[in-house]
Amino acid sequence: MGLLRSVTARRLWHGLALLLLGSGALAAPTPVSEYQVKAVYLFNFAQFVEWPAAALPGDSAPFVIGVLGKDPFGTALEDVVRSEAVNQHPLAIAHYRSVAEIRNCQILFITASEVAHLDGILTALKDRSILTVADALEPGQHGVMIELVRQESRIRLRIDLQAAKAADLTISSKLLRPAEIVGPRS
Amino acid sequence: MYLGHPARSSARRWQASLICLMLTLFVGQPAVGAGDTIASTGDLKRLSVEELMNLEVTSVTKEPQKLLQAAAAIYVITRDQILRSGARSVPDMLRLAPNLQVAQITSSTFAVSARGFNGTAASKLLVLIDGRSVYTPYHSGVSWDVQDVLPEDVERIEVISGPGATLWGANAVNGVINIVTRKSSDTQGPMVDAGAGNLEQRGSVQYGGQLGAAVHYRAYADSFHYGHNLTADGMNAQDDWRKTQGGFRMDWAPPGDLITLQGDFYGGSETKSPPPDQSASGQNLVARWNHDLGRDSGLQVQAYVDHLLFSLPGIATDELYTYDLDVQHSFYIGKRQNIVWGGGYRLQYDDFPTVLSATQLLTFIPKDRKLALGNIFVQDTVAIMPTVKLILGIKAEDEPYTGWQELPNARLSWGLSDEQMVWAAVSRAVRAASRLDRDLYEILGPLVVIRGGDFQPEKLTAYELGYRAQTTTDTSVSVSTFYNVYDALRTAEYSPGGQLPAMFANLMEGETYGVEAWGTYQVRDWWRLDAGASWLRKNLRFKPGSAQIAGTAIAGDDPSYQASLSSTMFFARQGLFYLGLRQVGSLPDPASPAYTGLDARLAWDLSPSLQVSLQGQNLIHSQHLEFGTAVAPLQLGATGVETGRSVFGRVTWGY
Repeated sequence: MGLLRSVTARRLWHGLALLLLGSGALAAPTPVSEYQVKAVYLFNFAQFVEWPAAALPGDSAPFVIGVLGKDPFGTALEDVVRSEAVNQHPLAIAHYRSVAEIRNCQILFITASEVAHLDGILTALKDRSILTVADALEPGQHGVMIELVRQESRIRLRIDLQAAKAADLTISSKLLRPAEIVGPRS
Repeated sequence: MYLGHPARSSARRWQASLICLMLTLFVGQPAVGAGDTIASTGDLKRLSVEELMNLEVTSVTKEPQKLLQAAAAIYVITRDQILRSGARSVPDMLRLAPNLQVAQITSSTFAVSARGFNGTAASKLLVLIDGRSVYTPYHSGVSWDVQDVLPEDVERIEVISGPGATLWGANAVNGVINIVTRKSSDTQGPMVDAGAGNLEQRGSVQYGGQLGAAVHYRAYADSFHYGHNLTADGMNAQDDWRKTQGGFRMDWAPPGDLITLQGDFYGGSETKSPPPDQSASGQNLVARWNHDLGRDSGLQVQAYVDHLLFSLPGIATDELYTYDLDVQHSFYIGKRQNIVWGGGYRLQYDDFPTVLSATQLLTFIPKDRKLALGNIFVQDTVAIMPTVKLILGIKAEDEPYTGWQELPNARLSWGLSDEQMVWAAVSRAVRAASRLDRDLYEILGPLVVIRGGDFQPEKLTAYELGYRAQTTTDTSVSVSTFYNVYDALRTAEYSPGGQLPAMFANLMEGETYGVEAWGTYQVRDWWRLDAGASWLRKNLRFKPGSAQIAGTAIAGDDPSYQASLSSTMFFARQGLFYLGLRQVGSLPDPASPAYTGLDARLAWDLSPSLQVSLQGQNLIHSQHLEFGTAVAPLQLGATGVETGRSVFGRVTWGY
């Protein structure tokens, strides 16, 4: 009982300290728009995923984040990648209407309009080291490497490690640790 | 606590939180310079992945994708809407839904319904708070004076007009209100909210914390005094009331599970004229287990205990114990079919002793009764084509007094495009008999005026059609129409031969039809408009053999139309101005004229965790009637008491 009380007291002190520092803002972070956050996630993926050397463009060719289908980001993606670079490759955004259009691309966001044809898309991307990302899939669909799942008012990550490994991509523990990892489904 | 500005966060706020991170976590963060006016995207890029995952994201609805597919007329009142409008009581929060009719009767009583049949004993609405049903079995209605949720703790309120899907069961005839509170992990830290005005004084405190990594909790206490409403000639209606409530919620989230324990207790009293005053107290405890079974299937088990005590000393007491257990299992067959099935059992002990006197003639016989309600249900959702979903469901319910009822429903949703869908539904719903329908006696000396009869459940077959479009995250429109065929509606009839005693029977039937529409429009990134309107036509008639006592008006008192418009504006990075206008049509019987209500609220963030605000309600008329004059039949509860203008100043600290 004594231990519990001292632990609780410590937590109350901690809470009071946070309080005095005006950290009410920490308790309930300021909301931002959903696609702004998703755009920043894509930016983060560029830094926390390792591509095999063969999949990266030469020299100072751009590192491409592609959007397949009807773009839900508005200007958010452009805003995020402006003047940014990854390992000397400037970041660029590309919009595709079909998988056939994809040339140099490292990250591909599959939009809601295309997710219905997911199986065909993933098959076409099979031997390329492209990190596939999408919003939460319908139950029964899988194969996308990172799902941006909306849980109440937060965006969480659901990572399919198997799919990433199959594409020869290594995902940093910085992304894996806070994410939900999904395993193979039969 | 925040203003919730969707597109512009104050650089100062980011600076404050980054400084705090430095001090408490000793992690080096690049400080945002004082002169920086970096777009929020720049600030976001500096966050770690953990911080990104904890960011709150704004949207009109909880899950735009899912809402777009719901084959029902569902309006979601978001937490944002509640906080911005300043609504504190549950009826005030419900006024934000354009598909509900909310009418204030006295300071503490309200008539709330959807699609007609409104009255204090409005019986056709199912109301749940975190899965706990809050209707009172003695009249199948809801005592709004004992249901309180802190606005900061509301995650969302789902308002479905129309028969709830088979999952919800009895009394979900005209609608379902589902109040969902936030998980404890979303209400961490301290919060104090206090305010006073010409009509109301209120204060609440809450603290949320953590016991280890996976257990979060919160505890709160809330107290208010709500002043009197006014009689038609502006005098004190002697109906002020006060209540104190406290409670807690604890969530434990080991991987794959969510176990929640929550409870509340409250006590309050309402001045009545003539005395005595009525007091109410209650306690409840809810335990819930959500288990992830893998492969997108899940199990939910919920049990709760609820105790409620109303007391009018010297006249009557109502003590109600409720014990409820519900189980629900959801799983997928292949990629296109989702089955949800389950069942539940509810046991209620209602004890309603009455002291009969010259002025108090009504009583329940027997004074105490045990009511048992059992149900099993199954619902199958099939994606018969990628854009077409068919939902077939059936629930069988064993009701107190009358036994088994079958409640089938069929729904179809068709996605016209990513942003638009149409839906159609046919359902059967039933309003179970209550103690009022079966056990009520009115005794005048040796004469029995009313006696408990053989009341059967009221029936509804509903045909609905709707269209919904969500063009961007913040702009949407929804239109629903319905055609309801009612049978076995409650009437009061004489004993054979036209003799007393009278009793409740089921000799009314009819049709109602109408349209409900609402939309939101983001005019600028700092200005949003919400609009809603509903129309209702009723065509009710007595069946042959009915004594037609009190006319078809006894079914409910409803306006033929209702419209609302609200505007939310953000300014100067710290300010919020909210304006809410509503126009409610006249009520036929008991009569009350159409009225216009205007609410306004001005709020200012003195700091990220301190907000002051001033709000006014019903600003146009010095007083107005919402629900009809005092001469009214028993079930409707009208008193002729009017609602006055009110202003309220408030300080909120914390989140």
